Amino acid sequence: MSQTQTSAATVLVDHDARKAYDDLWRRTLSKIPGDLNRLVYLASMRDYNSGRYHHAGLEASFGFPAASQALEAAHREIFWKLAQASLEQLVVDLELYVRNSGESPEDLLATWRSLQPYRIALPLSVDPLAAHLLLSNLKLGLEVLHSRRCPPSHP
Amino acid sequence: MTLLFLAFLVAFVLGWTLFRLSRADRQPSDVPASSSPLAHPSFVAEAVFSPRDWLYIQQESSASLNALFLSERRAIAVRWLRDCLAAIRVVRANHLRQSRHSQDLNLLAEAKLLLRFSYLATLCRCLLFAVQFVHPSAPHAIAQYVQNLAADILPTPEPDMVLSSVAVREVSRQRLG
Repeated sequence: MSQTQTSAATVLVDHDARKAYDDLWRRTLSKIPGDLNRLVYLASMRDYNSGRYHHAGLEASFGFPAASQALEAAHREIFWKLAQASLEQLVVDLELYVRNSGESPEDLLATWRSLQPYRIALPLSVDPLAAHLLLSNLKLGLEVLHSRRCPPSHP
Repeated sequence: MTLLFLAFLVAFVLGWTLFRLSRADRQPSDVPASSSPLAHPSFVAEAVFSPRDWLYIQQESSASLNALFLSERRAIAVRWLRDCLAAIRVVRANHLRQSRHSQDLNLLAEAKLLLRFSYLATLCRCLLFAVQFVHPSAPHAIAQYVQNLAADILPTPEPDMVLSSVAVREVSRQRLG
């Protein structure tokens, strides 16, 4: 069974992985505002080619396997929270993401609407329909933010 | 004239349903025996068919947003129903294979089970038909009923949430605002 196929609950039976997970939350994730920011951060810790998670600080303290498992568990956990969130909650998270990005909201919305980079922010091996729902809600949320900034002109 | 039109409509719906049923009945033999289907997590159907998000979108007062919402929700609803149908076919085919080798077959229980599979599959097909024409939140109660029936037959995975004490505190803090 590959690492990504293992459920987070099973993975974190490992003592070091559990400690790494708690450390990740305490030092990093609790300081990141909003679950969407956390999701993007955790996805950025994953190697595009191998799908393995890397974090220099966690690996130095707990070793690669524990650090990688902790990152994957946290990634899946945040994914499930976002997938279950209402559209309204997701729009609030998107607004938070836009505010914290440091980019101009117009540029960010234009990029996200056209390139849809959030598609690669999902963990591997999650329920495909739950992933579909989250991607669809993100697409709708972006359209909500866009329509609020550029309301359609009425003739 | 109206009566003729209604009769034609009913005949069309019945014909279409029978056609779909006959096609679906041929498919179990194509299903590999090793497949172990899983229903999707229950919150997906709830999110798709509940009016919660629709009420939120309506507050934005944008026709294009409303249209996008409907097309997105319809796509997920159709996928959920098709996956349900596929999973029912796999479970039914696996069960039939096992039944053939069973020594003490209870015919009444087997008939009841097959009837249950067919009932659920028919409900899924009716919903599949309905969501093409009505708002996805309209058949909310039927979708919930189908979800509950499917959960009895198909194993449903639930999110693998593992919250550390820090995460629990963080979530509580967020909820309290």
